[in-house]
Amino acid sequence: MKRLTINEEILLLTIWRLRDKAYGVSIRDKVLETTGSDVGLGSLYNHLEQLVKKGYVFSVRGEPTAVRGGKRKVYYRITDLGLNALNEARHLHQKLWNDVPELNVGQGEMS
Amino acid sequence: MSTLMKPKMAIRYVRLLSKYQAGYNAEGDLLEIYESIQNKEGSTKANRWLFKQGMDMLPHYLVFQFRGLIDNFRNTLKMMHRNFKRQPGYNFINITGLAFGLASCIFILLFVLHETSYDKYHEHADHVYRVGLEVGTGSGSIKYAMNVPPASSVLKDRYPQVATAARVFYWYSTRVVKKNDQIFTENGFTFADSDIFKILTYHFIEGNPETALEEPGSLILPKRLVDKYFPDESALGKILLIDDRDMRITGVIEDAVQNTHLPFDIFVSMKDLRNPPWLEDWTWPGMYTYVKLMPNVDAAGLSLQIENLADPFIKGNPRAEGKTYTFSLQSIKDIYLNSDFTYEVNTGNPSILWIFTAIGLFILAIACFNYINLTTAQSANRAREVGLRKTMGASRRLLIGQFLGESLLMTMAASGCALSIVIFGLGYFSDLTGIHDALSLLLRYDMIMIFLGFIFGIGIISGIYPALLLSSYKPATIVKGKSLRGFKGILLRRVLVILQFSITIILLIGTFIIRRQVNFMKQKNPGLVTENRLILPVRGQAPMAENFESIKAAFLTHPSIKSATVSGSVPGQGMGSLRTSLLGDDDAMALMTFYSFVDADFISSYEIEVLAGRGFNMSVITDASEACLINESAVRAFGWTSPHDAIGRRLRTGLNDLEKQIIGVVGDYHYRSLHYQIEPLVLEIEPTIFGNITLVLSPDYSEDTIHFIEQTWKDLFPGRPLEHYFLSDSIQQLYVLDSNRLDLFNIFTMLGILISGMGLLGLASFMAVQRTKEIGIRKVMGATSHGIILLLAKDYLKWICISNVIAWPLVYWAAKQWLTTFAYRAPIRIDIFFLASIMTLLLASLAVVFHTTRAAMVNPTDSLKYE
Repeated sequence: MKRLTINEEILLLTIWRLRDKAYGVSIRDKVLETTGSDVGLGSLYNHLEQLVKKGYVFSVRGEPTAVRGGKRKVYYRITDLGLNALNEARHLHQKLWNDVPELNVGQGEMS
Repeated sequence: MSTLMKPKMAIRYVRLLSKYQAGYNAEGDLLEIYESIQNKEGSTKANRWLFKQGMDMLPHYLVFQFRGLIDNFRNTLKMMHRNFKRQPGYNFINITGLAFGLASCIFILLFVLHETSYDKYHEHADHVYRVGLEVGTGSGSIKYAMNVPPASSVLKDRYPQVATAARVFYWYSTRVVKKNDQIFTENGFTFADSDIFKILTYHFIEGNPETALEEPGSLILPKRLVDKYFPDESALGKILLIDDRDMRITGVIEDAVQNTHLPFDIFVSMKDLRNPPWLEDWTWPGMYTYVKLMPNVDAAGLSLQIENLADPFIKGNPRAEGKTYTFSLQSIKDIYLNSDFTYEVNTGNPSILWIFTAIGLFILAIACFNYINLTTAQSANRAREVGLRKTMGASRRLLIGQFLGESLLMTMAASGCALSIVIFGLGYFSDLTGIHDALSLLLRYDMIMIFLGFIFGIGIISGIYPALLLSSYKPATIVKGKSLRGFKGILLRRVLVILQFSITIILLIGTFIIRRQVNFMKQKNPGLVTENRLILPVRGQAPMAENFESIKAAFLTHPSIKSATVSGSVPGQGMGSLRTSLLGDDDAMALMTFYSFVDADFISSYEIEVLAGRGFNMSVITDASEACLINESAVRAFGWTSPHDAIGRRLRTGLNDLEKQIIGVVGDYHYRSLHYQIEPLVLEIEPTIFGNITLVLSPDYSEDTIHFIEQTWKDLFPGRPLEHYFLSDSIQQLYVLDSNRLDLFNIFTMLGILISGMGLLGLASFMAVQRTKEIGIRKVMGATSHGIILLLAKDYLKWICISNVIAWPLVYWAAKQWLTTFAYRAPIRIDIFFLASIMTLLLASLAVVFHTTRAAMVNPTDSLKYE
């Protein structure tokens, strides 16, 4: 299984966290809240499509509401594959960061 | 919260760009966020955010569309493939028809490009002009392409607008060239002023164009001759013996190109003329005079200024009495196609150009019409397909795009075929038209672009009507099974068919007319007998001057040789014209006339009619030195009413300024090709010019006779190779160009008919199928098969009549235009018009009968089954 990129990881986690409320706007808000950087809807959708293609995520069409000008919401739910990928990512992070203390600037070696 | 579109109109594009995102629902997300930002930070910030989002989505949009196009393309291909499989016949006809049409166009384009490129290659072509001379007398005027020799220096010295002026003198053009022991004769020697190379562009391989002709005895040779005489060595500075005179090669140039009005490539210096008196004669137009103007000079203005250039010099000149001399400038680029001057060397025919262009367009039109016809005819077949696809959700735009795409693809396939046809036929084409640099004409960047654009255009034009038509079908009506074709469809098809017929008829008639003209020229009475005349050219300085009589006698010993004569040139050969003056008190005048230098037996050997007086007679000693003959046209030119009036008058003849008395008048005979009017001719006995022996052979001559001739020749001219040819053959050569044109026309006509026929076949087949129902009903009502065939054929008859009405006047007018280039014309008679229409009728009938027979034979029950 290919390793997740950090963006994918962020997205997948966000989607997982939002459970069945993950759609364009909510994902974007959550990511903004978590990472602090805004994500353009365009690139967001691109990434989401990628995730769908890779099988980590699937999309569900919601009901059209009057609120959003009649357009549906498209919800994204994580798949088992996606869950697996997240687990692997966590393992990797744990292995990498296991016994790493707080890194101070100035301890790096300039060679 | 009201959520209807708050963003301004200008932000609608975001809507567009986001359309394909998130399952067509991205807009909803955008709206949500937009509102939240609007509430929190205000409209402007919100708009800005929206704008940025749009930009963000742009790449995706583009990629999406692009992918769409590719899919579209793939689909179109698939559809086309299926279409082909279903109706291979129609499509094959379509493509080949179009291919031939395009190929014809390409060929014609080649021709036109070539003809219009004459003389454009000169470096200074925009500033180079030839000075023409119009000599007016009381009874009319003649425009000479040549000019009086002294004009050149006057132009250069007295008119500051003229940068350089130079002359070209085509005279004494055939000479004997001796290198070591080899003897050859070469044609094309031309005198020229040294400055000519500043005006006209000739590529010098060796030598300096500025100085090459400065010295007398200089010689400039083309590459082909240098390769012949000095293979593998530099020729510059070498000596050749030309007519027993040493000449030094001062320049080597590229061979004469084809697209120039002056196809000369052997030059000698004007100084070799050694200042004869006529070099300063202001009344004798004998040399081509060219000028190069300074930049930014108004040529038209200068042309007016020089009109009376000669007046101060002619004053008091008796030979100029009663005449006006008007000078004018003619752009060198115009000469080939547009010159109406006499004594041109190489002229083209602009009407041929127009005619061929018209033909090309015609043929293309036929091919396009065919395409449209056949495609719309198939519309019924594809109606079901269209209905189905529409029900599945295809938009009209999509269908139009697809049909257009089909048509474009077909056009491209057709042009591929066309190119291969062109490549195949290029060899034949070059032979027919004499154009050998075809590839270089075509493989130009601008030509290729034009070609591609052209194909594209044709694809669209031919395809747009069918595309619109087909895509307009409503699924409901199709499923119901009604036959659809608006009235517009029928009308268009009829119009197209009529036009096709017209074009075919025009082409046919044109071919007939041309053929008749060519035959006419071949058969016209030339005024002399050309059969069995064997010509033996004797090159070089004539040893014949003294002993031509004994030479003749030697040949006459053979029984099969009935008569022999010697002359300067033989009928059909080129000749120069010289000034002839009529001497007298009241009616003295001077003319340019042609000359034939002959012996006493010439008239009788060629059986030329003597209209008044007598021919030359050997026993009259003075005939050689004091007598001359003139032809009928000369009689008229000098203003006499009857040939008898000419007898006894005295002329001063041009060659040596001798006074001679007219002792006889001969009937006009064609001493040049029938392209030219018979002009005044003077015959003199001038042995120093004799260069050809004519032997009149009796019809029963044999191998044995030829042996005898060879043997006699060897005895008379030891060391010289014998050349011989029949006069009738050389005269045929004169008309080669015309028969080539005829062949070309034939080919195009056949192409046109082919394409027409194909289209007709397809159309008739379709229409028969369409009317199956009608035919079925008629049969049930009691019509016979014959009756039905006649019925259907009647329509075609009507159309052909209309086509005739259109075609006849057009052809007539065009033919008249073309025939003006001939001095002697075959009359245009009505019979060929009828012949052409009957042929077209036959063609059409064949197609119609074939298909209607099939349709008419069908059992009514089968055809009405579907009701």
